[in-house]
Amino acid sequence: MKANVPTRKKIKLNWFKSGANLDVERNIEMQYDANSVIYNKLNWEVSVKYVLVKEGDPKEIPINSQMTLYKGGLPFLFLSTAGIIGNKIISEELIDDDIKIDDDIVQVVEGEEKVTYEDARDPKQHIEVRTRFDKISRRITIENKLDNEIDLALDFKQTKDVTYVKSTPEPTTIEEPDYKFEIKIPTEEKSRITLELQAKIVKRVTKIKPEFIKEKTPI
Amino acid sequence: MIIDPKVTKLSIFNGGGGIVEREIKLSLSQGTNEFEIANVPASFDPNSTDIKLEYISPADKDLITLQQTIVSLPDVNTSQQIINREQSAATNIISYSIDFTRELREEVSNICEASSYRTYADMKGTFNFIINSKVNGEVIVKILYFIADLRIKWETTLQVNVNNDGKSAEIEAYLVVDNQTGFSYEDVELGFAIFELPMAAIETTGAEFASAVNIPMEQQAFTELSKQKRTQRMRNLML
Repeated sequence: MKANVPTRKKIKLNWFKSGANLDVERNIEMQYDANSVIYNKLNWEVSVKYVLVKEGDPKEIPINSQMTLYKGGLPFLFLSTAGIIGNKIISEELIDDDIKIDDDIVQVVEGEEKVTYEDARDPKQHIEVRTRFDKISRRITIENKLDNEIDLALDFKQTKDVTYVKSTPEPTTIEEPDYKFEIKIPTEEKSRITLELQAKIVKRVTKIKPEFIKEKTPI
Repeated sequence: MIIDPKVTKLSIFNGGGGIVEREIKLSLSQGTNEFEIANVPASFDPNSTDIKLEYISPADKDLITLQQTIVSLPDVNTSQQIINREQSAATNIISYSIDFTRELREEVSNICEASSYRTYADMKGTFNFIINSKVNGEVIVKILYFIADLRIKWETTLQVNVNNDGKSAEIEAYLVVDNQTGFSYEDVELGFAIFELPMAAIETTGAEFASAVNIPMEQQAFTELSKQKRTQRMRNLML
């Protein structure tokens, strides 16, 4: 390609034109710990990335290249490339502000507390460990504010403190610790998932051993 | 003899800098022929310079030989003084030209702009070479050097027109070359590579800029590049 490159100027050259298949990947990743699982309300974010599978020969497109999406001749999204794998052009991940997620607590059923003891640093003291397993029910509401139907994947990852019991609807795939839900939401509609979880709640209190508690003598 | 070989190819790196290839047909007289290449920017890397002789007749191979190359960069302190004086003069002239008519003002700006934006990298480096010839003849000389200047780089912009079905699109890709250096390249074959100049190469050209105070802003970015070594293979774009 021959061109003039003048001093202190920018030049724009045509590189290629090509058709491509477009795939919009939306993903929600959720996980709780023993504290967050009992919050009344939580908000999650949907990450979105655009994957273009180009027709023809692969092209080396540098990462962070500017990418503008047009619909009906008008630009509607400005983003940049995050990587190229063969003919696949992958955009950076963005937070999709048009999908709203509310995660509300529905019910908490406290389990029976079991008390065990651990040694403390001071020989006159011990640590009282109170462990209980609570059953927690949470409802996740996903609202699609876009003018088109969307597909998204919700990935619930269980942790050492919060484990999956059941859900409505059932997960599409289970690969422990991941429970994946593939959801289709029509435009301006809501989709709901109810999760039933078990949380291990542990409380530790350092106490003086009973044999070292001095009884108060009456005056 | 001062020569100005035509720039035949310019391979630009997306991380800034590039490789310049120049070519000229030279007439040689019997004996030692010394040439000085004009318009070599001070941002060139003296260690990466390469000269190749292309013989017009195969028999010349034994008769015409490259003896040596001589390379050097301009003195930083002297260059900086010149740049400061030029910038100050250019700013004054541009400032006075505000009182002129628009046409005159633009003409003055065009003349003075180059001086007003000049940096060390826009100064001229020295690149000489000596050819020994046993006969009077001609030879084609190909010259190659790296330029370590972040002010020349390229980037890609993609325009993705999403079709009504939302499942397919048309991609229009463009290459944007940004040349903020003081050098122009006319009718050159352009190459594009995904590459960032390694620290070693940058330090070679910037070695004389040891004091950070003397480093122009755009070149200070070189020093901010990561010092951790990583594998980096140059990938040329298939145009």
